[in-house]
Amino acid sequence: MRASNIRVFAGFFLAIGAAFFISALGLPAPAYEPLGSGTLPKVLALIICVFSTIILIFPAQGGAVEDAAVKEPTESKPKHVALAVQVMAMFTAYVIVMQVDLLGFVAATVLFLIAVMTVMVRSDPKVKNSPAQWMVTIVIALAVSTGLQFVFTNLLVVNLP
Amino acid sequence: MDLLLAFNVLFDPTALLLIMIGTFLGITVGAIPGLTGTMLIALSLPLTFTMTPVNALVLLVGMYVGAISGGLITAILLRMPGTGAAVMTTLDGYPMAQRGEAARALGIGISASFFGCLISWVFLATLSKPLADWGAKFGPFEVFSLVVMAMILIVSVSRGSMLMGLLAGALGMLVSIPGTDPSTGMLRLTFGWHELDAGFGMMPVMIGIFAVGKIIADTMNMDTQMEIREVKGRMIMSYSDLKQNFVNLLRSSLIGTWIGILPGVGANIGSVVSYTSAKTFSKNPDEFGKGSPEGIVASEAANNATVGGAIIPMIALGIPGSVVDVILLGAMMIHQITPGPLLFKTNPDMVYGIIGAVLIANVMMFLMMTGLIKQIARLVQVPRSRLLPIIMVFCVLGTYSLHNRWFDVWVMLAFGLFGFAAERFKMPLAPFIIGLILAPMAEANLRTGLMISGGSFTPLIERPLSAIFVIITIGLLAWQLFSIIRGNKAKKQGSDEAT
Repeated sequence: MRASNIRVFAGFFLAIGAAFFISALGLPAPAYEPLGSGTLPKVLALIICVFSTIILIFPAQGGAVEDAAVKEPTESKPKHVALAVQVMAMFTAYVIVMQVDLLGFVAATVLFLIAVMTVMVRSDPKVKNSPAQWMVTIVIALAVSTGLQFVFTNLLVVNLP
Repeated sequence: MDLLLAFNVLFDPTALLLIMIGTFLGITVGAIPGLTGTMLIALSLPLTFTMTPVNALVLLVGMYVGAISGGLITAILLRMPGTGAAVMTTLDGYPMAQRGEAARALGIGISASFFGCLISWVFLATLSKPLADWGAKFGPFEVFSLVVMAMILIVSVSRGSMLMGLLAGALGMLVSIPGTDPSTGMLRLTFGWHELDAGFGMMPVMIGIFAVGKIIADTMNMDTQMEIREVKGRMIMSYSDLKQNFVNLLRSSLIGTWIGILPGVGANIGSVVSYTSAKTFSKNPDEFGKGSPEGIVASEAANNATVGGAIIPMIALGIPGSVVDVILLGAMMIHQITPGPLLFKTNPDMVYGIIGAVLIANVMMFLMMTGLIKQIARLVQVPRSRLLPIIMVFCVLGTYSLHNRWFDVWVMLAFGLFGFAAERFKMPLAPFIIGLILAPMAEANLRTGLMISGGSFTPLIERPLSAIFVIITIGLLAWQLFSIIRGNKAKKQGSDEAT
């Protein structure tokens, strides 16, 4: 792991800590005991800011900086970063489509499963990209979406989108 | 005599069936590298909404026992531990499988798992009630100092840098802050979002970190090959192996149980400590890592023993012994049950149900793994491109169905990204989760204590138990600080020598 990446990671938490600290300053003064509702958030935000700053200045203290001597032998670099980004984009779209009522649960899930499985199968050495596998994808998508709709709506009495 | 209530589960067909299903699912998911028991249990929580609290908890306990055990299958056959708890099993299990002793290695692992869990169950059954009675006498200052000690302890033993551990713990505690102040009932740090009035919600955060984060990581490693060879022979420990490993079995089970009891310290650390001890005491330490049955016994007996051990502080004090126990506590809260020392008085059926379920799940695990391991090994080979998309749907359903609101789903996605990043940057997640669950308890108790004491902090060191917890906490912090300084010095010396 590069030191610059760890700095970005620590910088993000420094920003979070600072935001919480500033917001906590606006909390009312304690009335019944010396701490009140603001002390813990302020202390925690301050701790986060201090530790993040230490990691920003000395990334090696974060423990994830590349070091040939301590590198785990099984650690491997991820190969399919683009695939993961694609899948997460689909996942986000799946949630948005249901949240804005564009599609209901069954339709959205069928489309989501077909889309994600199609993309993933290309990188999965255990599945050959053949017409038969296409059929399997469609059957799984239909079975999972209708099955879950039935279980949640009728057996667990939970309303689905 | 109350302990006999634990065996009520034996006479309840529904509970028995749920334990069986839970154990089977746990073993299967535990065996699949990339999927974890924590993920399974978190995603199964919505399915328990309509169950009675006892049935819900016994199902989840079955999954817990099964998932810890299942990891050994792929650890031995593929050199890919199904769970983090089985990493040490890989070191000796796989070399044994390579030299044609796969069945023997599996048999030793399964039997050691059964024995470890059994020993820890004895402690669970006998220690929990006295510990709860003791815990019921705690005042707010004792609870606060105990929780702080637990937090520092989990940071101390987490893998990776101490600084990252402390940062993770503080972040987890901070995430628990937004929402309604438990002491005054006023809103704080909601940033104008009314969805945050009740806080972030433990389950969306947990599902995000342990399921979505893992899905991202697994997608990035999609082309990892998993081909399991045929295993022939009996999957049970032979009498000669048992005789040779009996002391190791007992020692590892006790180590696992003790480490399980320590708040927040789970099976992964239990198996590492036990493995190291077994190597130290072994007559053949050089064999470790080359296919030593002793290594498998140490790792598997200890990681399964942490299950019973970790449940002890959970049911006795309301303090989770491991990350999975956090979800079990969450399951109790969803069923309107307040965890803590009074559980034995308010919900004895549930507490003893959990105790009984650990024993029954352990027996079922043993029977299933000795009899069905070949079939389970086949299930493990389901392509990830089929499995991961279905798990994603479960993630959305699991979080949405908690309160029927999309905000929780977005929280899950956000914490999924955080969980993935944390893993990449070697930030330990256990302190984060334990901080998330324990911070409200610590804050509420300290502020209640201060109201009683008229704003004085001195009871923290005046009350004997609280003082002991404070001293231990300071000792742990000092030890950690010393380790950091010593580590830095060693690094500096190393780099000086290199140049």
